[in-house]
Amino acid sequence: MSACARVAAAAALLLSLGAAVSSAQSPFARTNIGQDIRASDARIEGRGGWGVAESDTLSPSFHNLAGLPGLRHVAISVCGFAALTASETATADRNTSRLTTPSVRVGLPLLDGRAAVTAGFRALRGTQYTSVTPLETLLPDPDDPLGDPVIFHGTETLVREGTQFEVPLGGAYRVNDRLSVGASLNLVRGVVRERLRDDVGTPDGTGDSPYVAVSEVLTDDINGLSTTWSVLARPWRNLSVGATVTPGHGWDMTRTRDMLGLPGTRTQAYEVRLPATWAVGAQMPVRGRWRAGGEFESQPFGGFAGNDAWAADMVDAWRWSVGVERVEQWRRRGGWRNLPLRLGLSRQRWPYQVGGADVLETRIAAGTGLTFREQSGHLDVALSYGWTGDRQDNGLADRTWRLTVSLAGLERWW
Amino acid sequence: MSQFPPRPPQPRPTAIVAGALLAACALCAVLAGCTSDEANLVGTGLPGELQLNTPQTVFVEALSASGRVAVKDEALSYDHNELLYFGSQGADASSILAHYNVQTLRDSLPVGAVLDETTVTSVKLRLFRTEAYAAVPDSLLDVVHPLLPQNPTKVFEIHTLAAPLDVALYPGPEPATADPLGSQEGAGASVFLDLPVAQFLIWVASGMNGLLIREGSGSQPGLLGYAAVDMTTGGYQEIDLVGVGTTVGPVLTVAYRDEAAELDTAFVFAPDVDVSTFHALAPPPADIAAGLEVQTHLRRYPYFFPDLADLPDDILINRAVLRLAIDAATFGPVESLVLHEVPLSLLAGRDTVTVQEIEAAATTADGILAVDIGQMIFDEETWVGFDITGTVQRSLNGALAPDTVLLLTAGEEFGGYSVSGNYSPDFYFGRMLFLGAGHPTLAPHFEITFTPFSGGGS
Repeated sequence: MSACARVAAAAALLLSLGAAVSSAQSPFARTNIGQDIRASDARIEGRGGWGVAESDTLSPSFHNLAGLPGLRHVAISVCGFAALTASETATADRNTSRLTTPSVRVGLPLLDGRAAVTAGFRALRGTQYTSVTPLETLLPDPDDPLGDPVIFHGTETLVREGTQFEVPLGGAYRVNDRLSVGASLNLVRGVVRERLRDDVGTPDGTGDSPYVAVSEVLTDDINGLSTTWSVLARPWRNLSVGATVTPGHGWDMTRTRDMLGLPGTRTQAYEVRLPATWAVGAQMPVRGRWRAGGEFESQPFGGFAGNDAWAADMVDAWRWSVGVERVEQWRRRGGWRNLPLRLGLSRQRWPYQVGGADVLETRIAAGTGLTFREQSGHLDVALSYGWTGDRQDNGLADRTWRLTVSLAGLERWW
Repeated sequence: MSQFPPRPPQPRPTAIVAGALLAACALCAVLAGCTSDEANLVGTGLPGELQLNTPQTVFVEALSASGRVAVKDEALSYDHNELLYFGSQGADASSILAHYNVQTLRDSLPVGAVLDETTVTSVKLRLFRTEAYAAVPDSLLDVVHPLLPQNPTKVFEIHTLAAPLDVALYPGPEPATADPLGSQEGAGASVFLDLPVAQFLIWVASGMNGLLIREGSGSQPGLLGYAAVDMTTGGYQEIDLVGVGTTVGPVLTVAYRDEAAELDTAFVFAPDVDVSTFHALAPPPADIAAGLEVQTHLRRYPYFFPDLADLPDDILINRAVLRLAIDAATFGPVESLVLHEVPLSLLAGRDTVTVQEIEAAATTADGILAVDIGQMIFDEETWVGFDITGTVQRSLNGALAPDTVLLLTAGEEFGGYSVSGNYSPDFYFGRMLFLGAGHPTLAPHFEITFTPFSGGGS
């Protein structure tokens, strides 16, 4: 295994460990199906999110599997992001940070580069947030048990956590110089867990409560299977277009309810139907080292069914992104000018409403990267700043800094 | 679509690798949640699927089982008690019985001493009242306890016994007496009762069956505790106004004239056994409706368990408290109270169980250290409460043996509520009374606050 592949593996492990202790993300993620936390590549993030029309054998993108043919070496790619979020409501604010579960992808060339197979791991959506609310409960006064009840001042704590992820097993084939196709079978797993705890407190709000706290846990375990179909074409000169579609599919959900202190759990099985997701995009060189591109992705969550509590607030989600990239060059003594430069803008509507209004997110991004010696891999970073929600419409607004890092290693022995 | 340019000069990968790892480590440390603010109100307006039910409180008075049982410490005989009770308090009455061994009397005499009417000048029976009953507050108790008699004046009648004393008959009726040795009024921490010398000598000559010290008419009410002869165990600093080495108990102080030495002297003659008769004992409350009684010394404890059948399924007990209202007829010193979980099969149908049996079978549910009911009455407090949250929850969860009942005891040496400030329940006679289920407003009840499981019933 090459040094870069080892680095990629080590980074994957490190990021995974970090993700295990992650604390909180956007408070918008504290409800419904959770926040989109897909992280496919820092190059794509730096350009604003477009990449479905891209193929690059040096730093392979798994955003569209149809871009994998042409791969000359076994590729290992790791990508994750960390986010700092400042959230505010009319009465409170909070700064949170989170390191997401990284994606790990492996690509294996076949048929002298005409085909490739791939496997990996990718987080889809995440929900990780804790909120605390003052709680007032009318209960008997321990000092006067037969007297009038008094108000106990305590807290209600809700922890919502969980990640939905998929394990895509796929392949791609280059039909000719202008057309490639790909497909993957995605094993979807995950969990969404809510833990609600009421600490009754005391009449004066201090000291230990004489009443035992109540805590319940609601867990949805997810088990699903989906397919993704993709195509990449170069219909005219250097114009590339690509598209992917993940048809609508079902998730088997196992809902478990548990109350702390009571024996046993209550289990219920149900199914949710996920709407199809499709994305189209294009890119082309514009001048010199610069190229431009764009992408549109849609997932009409208005067609979601199976969980009424989620479906009630769901809307059709979409995302568009545009951006430019100055590709890397290797001119001797080129210095910083050799580095790639990426700039992008994206806007998306989350799949559910908050406060009766759509949640809109706008993000600007910039990024760069570095090729390892002997082209054995690539390190890319992207920094973005986003605005999510509106305090007037949603009752809540976020400002988020996000740093995305991806590392690709190429193994030459193949 | 592949775009391999000519091989460029590249930086050394080790530097990049190190940099990448360092950056990743820094990211993990800084961004892995450790920099997040504490959770607060932000995000609370968002809908969640989980909604907890509101706690509600019910008062359960119904019992699924109740009764009482006498408890005996099989390691201790009845006459082992360190206190001798004298007098009457309500329906309780006790006299003191003491037996003296004539053989040891001979051995106790000074060499050459002869007991006869010419040498014995006086005989006094001395009783040592314990500090708890003393009129003057002393070191152990800050004040004379309000639930104990306040230095009543007593008439002490002393009789010889018609038959040798058999302590195995007590508690029980007073034995038959032979001759009265005198009657005398007394009060205070110690009393000295004069015995007529002639009759004393006759009694000695006849073999000394024993003495009965009985409360005479004209006494003020009150059950007093006096020291027994075996009250020599270290740690009992209960005797008022005695020095180190003093022989306590109902001792006879015999003064006599040693003609040979031309000396008036005295010796103390201690009993070899003494016991309280407790020939009259107030009956316990007829049933749980009449009251609950925790009696020490002659242990008698109540047991019961709430009827939880009307509680809904799938509930979390936020708090369950047994409330007992204090009956002002309570008598006795400060004592701990403990609730034990005990199998009903150990108690039902039995008049007496042993402390050892209870210790082997009991699990402590809750207890209160050093319950000063006298002070509580003075402070106009009404209730004594025991937190049995865990017991009720386990019962509802099926984790408690189905025949479990709650046995209310004094602070026995097991169970975690026996401390140096409390005496063993076999030491003091006390009766802590609580109002019964028949009381119109202050009946014992279980105050149970619970929260139904929001996912229950499915």
